[in-house]
Amino acid sequence: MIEPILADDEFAGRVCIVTGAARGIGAAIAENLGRRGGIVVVADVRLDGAEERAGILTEKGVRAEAMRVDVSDADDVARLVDEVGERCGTPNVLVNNAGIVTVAPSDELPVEEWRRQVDVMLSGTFLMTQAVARPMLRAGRGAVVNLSSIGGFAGHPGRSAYNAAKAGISCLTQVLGVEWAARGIRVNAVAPAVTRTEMLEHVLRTLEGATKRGEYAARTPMGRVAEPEEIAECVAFLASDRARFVTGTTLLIDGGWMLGAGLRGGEPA
Amino acid sequence: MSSYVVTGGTDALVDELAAFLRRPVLRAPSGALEAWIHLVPRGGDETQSLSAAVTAADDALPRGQGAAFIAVVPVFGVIEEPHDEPAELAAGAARSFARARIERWSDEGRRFNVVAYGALDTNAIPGLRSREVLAARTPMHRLASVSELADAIDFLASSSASYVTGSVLDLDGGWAAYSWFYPARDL
Repeated sequence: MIEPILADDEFAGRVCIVTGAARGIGAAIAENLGRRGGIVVVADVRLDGAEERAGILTEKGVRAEAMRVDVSDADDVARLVDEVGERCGTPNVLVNNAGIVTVAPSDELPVEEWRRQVDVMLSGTFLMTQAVARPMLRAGRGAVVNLSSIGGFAGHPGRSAYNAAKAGISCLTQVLGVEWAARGIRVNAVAPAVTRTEMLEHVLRTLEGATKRGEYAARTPMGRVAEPEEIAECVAFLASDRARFVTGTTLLIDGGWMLGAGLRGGEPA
Repeated sequence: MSSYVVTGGTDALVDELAAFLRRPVLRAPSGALEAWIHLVPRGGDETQSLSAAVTAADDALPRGQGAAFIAVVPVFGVIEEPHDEPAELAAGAARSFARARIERWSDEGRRFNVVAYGALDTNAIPGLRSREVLAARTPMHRLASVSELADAIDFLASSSASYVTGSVLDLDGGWAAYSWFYPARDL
């Protein structure tokens, strides 16, 4: 394979907001954009997590600013966007990464759990994008990358709210992509399969281990789960000017999960 | 020096692309191969041409290194008669080849992806609609340069796309996402 096509200073001087950036895929995205020169807003619902991550990035020479935000709260989102404007400048890149998952039988899923997942991922993606798009539209440029999922395209038992929210994110990506295409803002999404993060560890702990660690890799044509950096590289591409004609689309990053017949990895009956 | 093999397409389009791609372009495999790129349409039997390319790539594309086959096909609607139907059939076949090969090629450390292009600023694609119509139907209201197509191909061939296989990258200024009236409008 050839080397990455993005330059080492691809995001030089650009303000890049990443939600849910304290851990997992979000942390990898923040580091990736920062390593390429971006001024990274490490936004997370937990300020201590954001500060810890920003500290790690700062030690690596990245300009990183920790900020707290609950993306499901419109007032909190408005406050964050004001704070970004004051401390960093006009946002150029927004990555809507914040996500949570509760795996539970759908007939038993408490309504609060349904609402919390849809609020954080689907409404959170809309609220953040709406608020950040205003200064982007005034500037006439900007790129938004949303975190969808293979879950947004298929049935995974016990994941009704998560998957429905992710499907909503991909549709929202189409709507906003075409609505703002002529005004300089691109809106795209990535749809990862299972990635080696703390969210995976959380899922493996629930329902008394209904899903086993090795099952994910075995089910995947590539025979392994994704590394956070592999998702971050694709997010960086979509956020960059190298993808300047790409909008309204969702890019699968799934090691072939969606195309595989799904017969691999299971125990024979 | 490693290279790309480019099959299908017109020689004029291959020449345009070769000016921007990050590896030298060959029309047939020789030496170290980074990726196999197949262009649709070329003005002929597109599905047969694609099938022959996939078969040849099966022999020539290196194993175990994440080398990629990249089918470059039009999004539906950018090609007009009489080239539209063979192009669309080949575009569908590209997705089907990806599905049919996904497990074996993954086992062999090879990837298979699709670039779906929309409004392109070139005269070198048989049946591509006029620049005026393409721009009017595109939410971005402009055409893509061939260099932008090259960037998409290079990205999928690169280590940045190491976990991307069986995917479609829409390079279309919002064409495929847009499902509203012509000409494209924002409300």
